[in-house]
Amino acid sequence: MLRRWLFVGLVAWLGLGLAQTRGGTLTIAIQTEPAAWDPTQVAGADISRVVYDNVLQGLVKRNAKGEIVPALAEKWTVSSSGLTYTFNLRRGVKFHDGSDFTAADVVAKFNRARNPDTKASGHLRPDLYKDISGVTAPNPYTVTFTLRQPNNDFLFTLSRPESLITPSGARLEDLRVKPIGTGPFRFAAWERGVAVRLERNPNYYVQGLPYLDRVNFRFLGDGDAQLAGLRAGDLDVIAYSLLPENAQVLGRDNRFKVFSGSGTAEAVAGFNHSRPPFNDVRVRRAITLATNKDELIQGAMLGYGTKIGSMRSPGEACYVDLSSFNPYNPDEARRLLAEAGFTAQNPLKFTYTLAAEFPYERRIGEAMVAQLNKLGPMLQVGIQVVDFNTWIQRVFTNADYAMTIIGHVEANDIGNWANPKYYWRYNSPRFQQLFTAYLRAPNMQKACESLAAAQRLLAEDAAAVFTMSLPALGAYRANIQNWPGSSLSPGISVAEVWLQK
Amino acid sequence: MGEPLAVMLAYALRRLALALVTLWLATLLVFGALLLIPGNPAQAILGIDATPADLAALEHRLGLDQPPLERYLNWLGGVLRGDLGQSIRYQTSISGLILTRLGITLPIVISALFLATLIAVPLGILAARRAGSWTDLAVSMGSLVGIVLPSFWVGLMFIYIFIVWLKLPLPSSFPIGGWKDPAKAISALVLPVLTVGLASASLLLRLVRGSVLEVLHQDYVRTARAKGLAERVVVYKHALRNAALPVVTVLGLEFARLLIATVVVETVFGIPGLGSLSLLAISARDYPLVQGVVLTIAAFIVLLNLGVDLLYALLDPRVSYA
Repeated sequence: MLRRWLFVGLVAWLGLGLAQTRGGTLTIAIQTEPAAWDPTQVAGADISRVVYDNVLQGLVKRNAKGEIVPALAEKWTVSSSGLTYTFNLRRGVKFHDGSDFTAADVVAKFNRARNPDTKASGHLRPDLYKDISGVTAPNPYTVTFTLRQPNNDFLFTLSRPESLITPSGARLEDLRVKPIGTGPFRFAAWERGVAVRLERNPNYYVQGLPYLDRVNFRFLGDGDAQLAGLRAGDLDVIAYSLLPENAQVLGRDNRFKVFSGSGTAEAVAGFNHSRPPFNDVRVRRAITLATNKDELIQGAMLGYGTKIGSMRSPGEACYVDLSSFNPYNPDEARRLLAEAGFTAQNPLKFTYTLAAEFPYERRIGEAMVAQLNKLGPMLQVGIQVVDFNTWIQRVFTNADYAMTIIGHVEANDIGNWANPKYYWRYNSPRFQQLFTAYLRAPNMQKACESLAAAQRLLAEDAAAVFTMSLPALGAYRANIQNWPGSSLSPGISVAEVWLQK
Repeated sequence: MGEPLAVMLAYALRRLALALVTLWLATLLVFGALLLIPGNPAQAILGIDATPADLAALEHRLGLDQPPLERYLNWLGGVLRGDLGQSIRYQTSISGLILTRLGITLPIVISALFLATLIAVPLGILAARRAGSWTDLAVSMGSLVGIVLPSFWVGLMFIYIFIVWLKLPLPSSFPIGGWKDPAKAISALVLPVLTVGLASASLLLRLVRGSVLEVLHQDYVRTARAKGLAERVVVYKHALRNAALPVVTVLGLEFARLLIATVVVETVFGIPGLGSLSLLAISARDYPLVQGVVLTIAAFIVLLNLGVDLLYALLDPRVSYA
C-alpha cells in the first residue's frame, strides 16, 4: 500500500516537473493542397484543418469534443422566442495586420455572408445564412442577430468554417492566398506544392499561448511518403488518413504515438436514386444486406473505423445507433433481388465508380464490390476508377453514375439528404419534412427527436450503404504533448501543443 | 570544320522559325486535349460542399464562363506579350511557378545526366572493347537491370536502403523553404539524382557500347590499326569521336525526356519540381498552367534539338548546313 502511494507521489512530482516549454517548430502532413485559404470563399476540409482556430476565428468555435464554445464572442444570450442572438465580443483583440477587431467586422462579415448574390459577395453558401434578417452593432463590442424564424442550427452555423471572420477592409483576392485573422498563428507563407508556414502571433489575446514558434502544414498525399517522412524526421505529425497498415508499423515503434478515434467522416456508398435499378428500395436494401460492414472494417481498414447505420457519426449530437440495422444477410439479399426481378439469366449489372485520390474510400469500395460479387450470378458489379476531378463532374455534378463511395467529412451534414438535387438525387418529402422540423423545433429535445427520426428513415429507406465512420487515424513523434488527436473540430488546433525537450 | 559561320546562322534561324510553329501547334493540341477530358477547374477547387451558385460565381471570377476559343486567344495574346498568365489553381504568376520548379528540376536532370555520362561512357567503351567477354556480359546485364526496374521502385528501395537501413542523414523530401537551406536542399536531391542517373546511365551504356562496337568494325579503324597505331589512340582519338554522334543525340533527347519523366521520382522523393507541377496542373484542370508547362518543355526540346544539330558540325565534318 505504501509503495503504491509512493508511486502516486512520484508520478505527481514528475507531472509538476513537466511544465509546458515554449518554442520549436512542428511539421504536420495533410493529404491535399487546397486551392485557397479563405473558407468563406472556397470550400475544402483541408482549408479548415489548417486555418480554423489556428489563423482564423469566428464568434464561436467547435472544440475537440465537437462542443460549441466561445471564441471571439465571450458570451451570448438567446431571446426566449429564439429569434434574437446577442453576442458580447472580446475586447482588445487585434487582427494579424494590426487592425482592431470590432463589431463592425462582424456586421460586415455576416452581411456579406447572407448576400444571395454570390458573384458580388464572393461568399460561399448564402443559403446557410438566409434565416438572418438583420445584424447590427449597438456598440463596438456587441453584435445582435435577428432571425426570420427559429433555427436550431444557428450556433452550429456560426461555428462553421464559412463563418470565420476576417478584417472588413481586406481584399478578397488577398485573403484567398494569405488569410488574415485573430488566431494564435499568423499565415506566413504558402509555398505552392510544398507547404503552408504559420508563425506565432505575438499579440495573441490568450496569455502564454501559443507554445510553438512555427507550424508547417506539408501537403503529402502518399501514405508511404508520409511514413518515410516521419521516420526520416522531416515530419512530426501525420494528422489524418494514416494508412491502417502504417499505423500498425508505427504502433510498434516507441518513438511515435498512434492515435485513432471516430471523427465525423461517414464513408457513404451512395446510390443514384434518380434511375433504375436504385430507385427500387428492394434493390437498395439487397445491396445493403449483401454488404458485410464488419468484414470491411476488419479487412480493408484492419479494424480501424466505426460501424454506423445512417448519416451520422457516434461523436455527434443526437446520434442514434443504427449500426445493427439491416445486418449482413446474403440470403435475404438474394430473395429481395429475385423479388425485384433479377435472376442468373437476367442479372443486375452496374458499375461502381471510385475516386482514385481517396485511400480509405477506394479500398473500402473495392472490398465492397468483391463482397457484392460473391452474392451469386444474379449480381454483377464492375469497378471504374476515375480521378477526383472526373468524379466531381460525372458523379457529383451530373449524377451520371450507378453507385459510388466517398467520405462526407463535414459534421452535421445529414441535411444534404433534404436536398433532392444533391448527387444521390434522394427525393423524400418525408425526410425533408423531418429535417425542417429539426431546424424549427422549439427546443433541443424536440430537435433531437426529429433528427433521430430522420436518421432512422435513411436507414429504413436504405438510402445509401452507410459503411462506417472513417477513423481519425494519425501518428506523431512521442515528444509532442497535447496533440488534439481524433478531434471533432474542423481544424487541427495547435495553439496548446508543445514539445517536450 | 570549315563551315562558314553565316551558313550555320541562317540554318539556326530557319530552325528557330520552324520551332515557333511547332510550339504553337503544341499549345493548340494541349488546349484541345484538355477540353476533351471531363472536369473543370472551378469545381475542382470548390469540391463537394459547394452549391451551383458558388460554382457559377467562381467560374465567372476565373473567366471560365467565356467560350473556349476566346480563352485560348486571350492566353495566346498574353504569351506573345511575354506573359504566361495566372495559375487558376495557385492564383499566382505561372512564369514564377515554372521558374521556381525549374530551379529544382534542372539541377536534378543536369546532375543525373552528368552522372549517367560518367558511368556510361567508360563502361560502354570497356564493354565494347571486350565484346563477348565476361566483363561485357556483366556490364550489359547490369544495364539491362537498370532499364527494366521502374524508377518508383528503385526510388523506394533507395529510401529504404539509405535512409531507413543505413540511417544516412538524408531528408525524405525537399525541405520547406527550398534553397534557403542549401545543404539540406542538396542532400534532398542526392537520392533522386542517383535514381534518375542510374536509369539514364543504363540506357546510355547500351548505346555507347553499340556505337563504339560499330565504329570499331569500320574500315578506317582497321586502317588505323594496320598502320600500327596504339590501341589507345585508335579508340580514343579515332573511334570515339564518331561513336559520340548518336550518344550526343540521345543525351539531348534524354534531357528533354527527363524534364517530365522526373515526375515519378519527384513524387517518390517529395520534390516539388516541374514534373509534379505538370501532374498537378492536369489533375486540377489548370488549363493555363498546363499550357505554360507544355510550352516550357516544348521550348527545351526544340532548343536542345537545335543545339544537338549544331554540335554535329563540330563532331562530324561531313555534316553540312548549306
